Amino acid sequence: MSYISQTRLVVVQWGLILLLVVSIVLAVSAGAVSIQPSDVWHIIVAKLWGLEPLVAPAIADIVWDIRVPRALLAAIVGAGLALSGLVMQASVQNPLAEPFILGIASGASVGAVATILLGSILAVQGVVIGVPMGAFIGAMVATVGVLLLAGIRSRMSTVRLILAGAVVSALCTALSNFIIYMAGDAEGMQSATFWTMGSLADAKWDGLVLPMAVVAVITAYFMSRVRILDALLLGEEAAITLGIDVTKQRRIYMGLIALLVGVLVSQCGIIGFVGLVIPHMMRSLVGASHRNLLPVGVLFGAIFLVWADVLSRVLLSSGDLPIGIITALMGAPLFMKLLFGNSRNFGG
Amino acid sequence: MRAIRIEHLRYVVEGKQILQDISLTLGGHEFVGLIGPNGCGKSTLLKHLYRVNPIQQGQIYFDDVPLADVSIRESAQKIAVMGQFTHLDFDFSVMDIALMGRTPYKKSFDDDNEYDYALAESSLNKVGMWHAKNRSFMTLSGGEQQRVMLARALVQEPEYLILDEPTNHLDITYQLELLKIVKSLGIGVVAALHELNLAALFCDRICVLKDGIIQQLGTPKEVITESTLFNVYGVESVINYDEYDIPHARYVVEDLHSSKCYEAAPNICNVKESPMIGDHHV
Repeated sequence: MSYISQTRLVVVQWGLILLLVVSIVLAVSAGAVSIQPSDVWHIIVAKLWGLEPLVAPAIADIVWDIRVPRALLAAIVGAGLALSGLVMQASVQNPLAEPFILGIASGASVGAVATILLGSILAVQGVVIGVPMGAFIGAMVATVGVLLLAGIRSRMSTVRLILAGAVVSALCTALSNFIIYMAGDAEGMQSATFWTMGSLADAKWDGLVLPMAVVAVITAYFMSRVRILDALLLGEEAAITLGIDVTKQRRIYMGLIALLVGVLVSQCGIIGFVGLVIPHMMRSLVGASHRNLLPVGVLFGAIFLVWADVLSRVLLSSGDLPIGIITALMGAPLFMKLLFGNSRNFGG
Repeated sequence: MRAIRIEHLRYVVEGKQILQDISLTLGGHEFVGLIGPNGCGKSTLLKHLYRVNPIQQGQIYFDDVPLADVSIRESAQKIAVMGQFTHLDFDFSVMDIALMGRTPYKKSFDDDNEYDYALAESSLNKVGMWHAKNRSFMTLSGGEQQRVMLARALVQEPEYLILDEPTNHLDITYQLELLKIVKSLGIGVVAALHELNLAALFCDRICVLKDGIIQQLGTPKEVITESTLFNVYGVESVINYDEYDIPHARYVVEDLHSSKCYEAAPNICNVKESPMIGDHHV
């Protein structure tokens, strides 16, 4: 815990909570049919109290059934992706680790599309495998693959890690595209665009429960692990001398992140770089200590993706832009700067 | 009895014997130095003590309990380590780093309490870094970073402190300062050291390792001798003793400053290719 920034931290946290609420209201009001933020607020409050909002039912339906779930999903996914970046960076002691860059998200997408394909083939026999479950398995396999390729035993160099991620990502993307094209119009199969660039357009109230629960539980878990995350950043040996069973903790953490990424990707495809951008920005705001960084990162991740989704909806008059394009446009330059722009080497 | 007891420790990596049958007891509050040439197994031995290397063969007892029966968390409450300089990619404040020393004592949701802060303050004061408590660790000089790392180790309230070549990146001022602080703690210290004269100055006992075998173990006066230095390092020396009988090695390099250098060892003193001083020898 940084010694000085306690007041500042409380201000930042409450500021971000407020900003998140305001962002969601504004995000809901924006779109093809523009709705007054005050109306949005009124509709949300009324619906939450079980009342009929005093606006045109069509407007209320757009707000409550389409836009609110979508904004909430954006917030949940943003929070989850920021969290996954933070935890992965501590687990492999590298500020560039992130589900998309390391190919974990691609692994999840293979698992998801394979499950959908399998489900559509086996549906006649009544076999249904949860798509999130399949995505989790895919993410898990990709995680193990990346860590093995990067050489988990030795001190992983940045170059090896990034290359391992690129390899796994390329393989998984090819595989999932292959499955998508093979599957044709199998039931529930989304387009390749959905899986590789992400979309929040299908958000429904029903679909929010699982990701929200997973993000909430995993965030709470890691809030109880902030000391260990801090110690891990010092490096493997230093963490051991601080009493941490690094191998065991790393396994648990990467497993939980695979679960998180699996669930998120199964809901909205691959949205890259959020886990890179948010931790990086927030570290400069509150420092590297996870007690401060984790809540702030999760909140800001939520806000970030809510606005990224707004951009994706309003930039083109003809329709949605895949949200992954927006996040990549912001994240890739930062990735480049972190990878090449720093004379301080990353131990390559 | 409070002691670290190493018995018949062996360690093999890729068919190479790094440690061969090491037995050593480190007791109480003494300052034990490990010296020996590069690759002699100093770091490997220490990494066994601080749980980074698994025990392949042999046994280590901590207060008569086999290390395998002590959890990593428990041993971190007793042994603190100041390792070789580690580069940090993440921006922590000096205070953050110091408080990390409390990690082995904390449960999941435990906050840092008054005691932790007081301990961090006194430790940072001991190493002279309290004034920099809010500074970013990354912006400190190498010497300052080492001192903060020492403070972190002190915050662990260890019974033993392991120094794994701690002075590598420090100039002589900081080397002396660091070892003085460590010496004043009154806890057991095991330190791998490169500089023999520093080892002689600070250690109660010195253990000489070569090829994974303990060559000698004893007081500085017993160990730092002309024959040991020659046998272990292949270095000629003359040992002098100060008023406290502390040995001090003066290294002798044959003919280095005599004009007969070229004749004596033309392959070593290849002065012909050096136009600057070549004239003296023609």
